[in-house]
Amino acid sequence: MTRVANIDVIVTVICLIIVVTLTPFILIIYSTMHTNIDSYVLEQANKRAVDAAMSMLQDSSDVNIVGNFDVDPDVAYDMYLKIYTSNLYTDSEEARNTLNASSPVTLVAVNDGVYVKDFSGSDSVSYFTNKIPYAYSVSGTEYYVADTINGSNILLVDGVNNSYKVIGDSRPLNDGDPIIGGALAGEPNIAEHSVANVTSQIIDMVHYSLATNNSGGSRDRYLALPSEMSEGLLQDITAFRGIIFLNYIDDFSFGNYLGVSSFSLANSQLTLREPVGVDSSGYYKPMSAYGFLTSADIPDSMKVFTSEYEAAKNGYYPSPSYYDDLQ
Amino acid sequence: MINNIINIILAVIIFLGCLLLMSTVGLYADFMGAYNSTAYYSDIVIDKGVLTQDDYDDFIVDLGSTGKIYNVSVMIERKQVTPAVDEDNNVIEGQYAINWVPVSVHRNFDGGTGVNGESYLQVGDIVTVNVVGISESFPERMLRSFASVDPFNRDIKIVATVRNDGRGLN
Repeated sequence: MTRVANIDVIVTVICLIIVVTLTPFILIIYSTMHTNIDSYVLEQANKRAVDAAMSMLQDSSDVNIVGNFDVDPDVAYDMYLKIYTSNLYTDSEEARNTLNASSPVTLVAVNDGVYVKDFSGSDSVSYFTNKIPYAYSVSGTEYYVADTINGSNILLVDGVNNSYKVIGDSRPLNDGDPIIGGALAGEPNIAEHSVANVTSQIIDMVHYSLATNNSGGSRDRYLALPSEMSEGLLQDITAFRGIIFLNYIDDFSFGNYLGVSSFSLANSQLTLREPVGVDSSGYYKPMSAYGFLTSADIPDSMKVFTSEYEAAKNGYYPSPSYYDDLQ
Repeated sequence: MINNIINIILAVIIFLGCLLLMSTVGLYADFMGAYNSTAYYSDIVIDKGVLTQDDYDDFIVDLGSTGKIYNVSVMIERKQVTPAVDEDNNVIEGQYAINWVPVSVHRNFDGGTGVNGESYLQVGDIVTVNVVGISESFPERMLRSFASVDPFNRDIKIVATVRNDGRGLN
């Protein structure tokens, strides 16, 4: 009788042990899966958002006859926010604001200048440029160093310990490693291009831009840096012609989603926009829709703009058939 | 006697725990399967720049392999660039606005028949693929019955912009 009772107690104890260990195990499994899904969805959202931003950049770029072009970084950035938050099942203002607040570094760069987001003189300002592939966080001890040539790496530099790591890569960067992508590849010593040195030059460029009022016009979140200011720093860097959109997210969380930090970059060659014309109807249409063979055929009465954006800026609406007429 | 009762209760708890664990894993697999199917289909659409019935049917079959029934909608929005206007609807000179206008919605519910034939898209169009589960899989039933939770029962939504013109015009 006693033996049976002992067995019962032993079974009870074993069962209790199983229950006690099973509960945290289930919670860990659940938590891991939840995190995996969050990470995956956020990664997908980021990937599609940066794609959309680049597409919008290409679309809204305005090229003149000598190859200089203008870009509206706000349009690309707004598109980024819209697509990112839409992929999280919400396109609310709140979600966009949260994402915006978690994006301390955004870069839109073109051949002849750089637009740097959020230059306002506050402590949290970050400077970024594609011509000099570095970023600098003023507020903390961390320096973000980006290779914008191939976009596959960003180096996080701890300003206190002077240690390096590649974001998204568990392998620490060794002193002798060339920075991947060519920006500093082959340099004998990383110290020769110290972050502090480059940072001070970027700040000089920003000050120069402010002094010469070379801002991005109405794009008050951005600052245009003139290419002549960066030429001195370009000599070691592979020339890149085209446009770049880059965003760094620092601990973004929204709704049920856990916090995430990510770095994304896309670059592409610029594509030429088709000009649009405004005829007597008062609406704009793509020039190809008019069927003119040469520019000499264009009547004087017609107004021609380099893009639909320019036409809209001048107060013209698209023809109802505008998108059907696109070729 | 009391020990026996306790043992039975503990055995039931262990059984339910194992069931919950398996259900959670099953549900995770279901979600990821459906999400990947949706993402794959979205990528096909934005790369081709055209909605085709064949691609859509393949997508629906793929979704069905998870054992659930879904409401699927595919919406296309197109950019319209207009002058910016103020609150009184006066044009603001030198500024423009971008509006996104829905041009088509394809759904397999509420009388919709999904995608029929082919619909050509333009670069920059926004494609939204929304997938909402309307039936419960076995793991979901288990979790709902025994734990009153359904941790991964989220709608799936993929939003992306078209990369290539469907007619090959660019």
